[in-house]
Amino acid sequence: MTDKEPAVQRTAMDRRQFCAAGAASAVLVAAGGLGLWARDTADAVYLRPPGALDESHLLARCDRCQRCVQACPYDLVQPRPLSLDFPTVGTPELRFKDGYCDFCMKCVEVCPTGALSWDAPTIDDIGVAKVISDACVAWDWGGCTVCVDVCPVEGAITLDDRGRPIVHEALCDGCGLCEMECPAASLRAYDPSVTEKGIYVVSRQSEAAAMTGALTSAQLEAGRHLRADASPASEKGGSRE
Amino acid sequence: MNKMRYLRVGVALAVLVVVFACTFAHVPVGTLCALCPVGFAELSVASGSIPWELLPGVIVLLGVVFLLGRVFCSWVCPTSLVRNLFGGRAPRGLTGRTGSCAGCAGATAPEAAGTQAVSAADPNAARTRNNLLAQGLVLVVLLVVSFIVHFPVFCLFCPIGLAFGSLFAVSRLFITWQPGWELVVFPAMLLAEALLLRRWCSAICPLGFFFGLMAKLRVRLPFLPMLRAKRSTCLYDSGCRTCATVCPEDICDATATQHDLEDCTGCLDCLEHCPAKAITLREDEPTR
Repeated sequence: MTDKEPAVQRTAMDRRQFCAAGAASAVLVAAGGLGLWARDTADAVYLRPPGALDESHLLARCDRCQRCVQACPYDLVQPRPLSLDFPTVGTPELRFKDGYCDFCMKCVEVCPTGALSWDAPTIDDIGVAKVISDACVAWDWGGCTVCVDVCPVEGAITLDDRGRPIVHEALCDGCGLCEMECPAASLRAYDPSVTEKGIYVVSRQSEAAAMTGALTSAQLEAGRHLRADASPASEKGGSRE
Repeated sequence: MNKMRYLRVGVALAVLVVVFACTFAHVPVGTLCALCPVGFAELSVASGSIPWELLPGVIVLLGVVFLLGRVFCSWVCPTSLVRNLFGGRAPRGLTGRTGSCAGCAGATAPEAAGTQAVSAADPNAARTRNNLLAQGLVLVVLLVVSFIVHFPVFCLFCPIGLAFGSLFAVSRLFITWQPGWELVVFPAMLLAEALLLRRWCSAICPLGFFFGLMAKLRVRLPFLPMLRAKRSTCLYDSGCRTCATVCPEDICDATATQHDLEDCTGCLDCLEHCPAKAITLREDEPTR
């Protein structure tokens, strides 16, 4: 061991280190390619916190530092779980489970990268609520007015002449209070083909947002893709410039 | 015995616990990712503009490494945490140590080393070194890939990201009661990287590239303290190789050159184990 030439040993070790580096580089290239394929396959739009411009901007800009997750006083902002769309893992997503957004803007304030920015049209308009016709209790039985009663924006949800909730898309800002309060799951027998809630907030850049009127559970599921004509500047809230 | 190792495990766990507690207390401290120079570079190329607000944090982290050496690697990085917890008696350091110092011929047990026969070998001559070029290669490839695919690619593999990802997977579980695959996948990836890939730190870690550069700069400045053995009390000439045997990077503090000290992660194992208590933090360079 002692009479070995140290220089020879070092180059042998160097070679192994470069092999490791080469293998790691190959894995990174493969992960990049797979990631692109996964993004294209999923082609999904998630409900992002206020200030997110669009999916591709958020994905390129988000540091996955979880400051927005920590800042949210209502635990709405949650890191995306690991799914087939794996490049999005750890990016922020809204879950109206125990709370709704009151636009306190703490998530935008703490974002260090501009992934959530004050200039984006979603700053005062997270998304739009969609009534799910086969899950909403008022739709087939009538009588339930919970979403209309809790909606903090006057006139954003009204009842039609048959007592069914109608969302006025131009007024809705996607705060999620209706989704949080909707009692549909507790009023219906469990059916896996029907969504849990009778009303869901979807991103304005999704296909579901482009469909008018109430959706079925299947339409909501199918409408999670990016709209072909989606451009952040064309949304309600006006041009960014 | 192993006091420093427990201390290091404690510090690294404390960082994770503080971030976890802040999540439930709604204090937006963020994870270490907000200080990451690799993340800063990745986001710059992926989004096509520089996230200036990240820069102060990045400079602070690099400044700490510049002033204190690569302490991040042994005291904070989850890779070291996993290795210290599950790596057995002599956990690996940056350069893939497997429990025996290549240059310590004759010095088998650290405690017995001082009394053993004189060993002629200088442990520093046979050391494996941190490979800046290999790390730089990974960094360049990763920046090119991130530029093409428009998302930070290394973040999916980074042990630091995986450790915090596991943490946030748990917090998400408590908040939404929906378990996800990341609860299994992230810890498994972290364990695999830390325990199966010997050369992760010395040849792959792109964060190590930045830290290595800082360490290179640091050892060339005469006024910053480094761990060195005092010639008056050091037992090197009697054959003692204790410091090199306990050092995860196989550095012998008696004969270490500046080039060797670049790899020092300040784990302080040598300070704890030196039988003559000859090792101190000093600025001057001993000549031997």
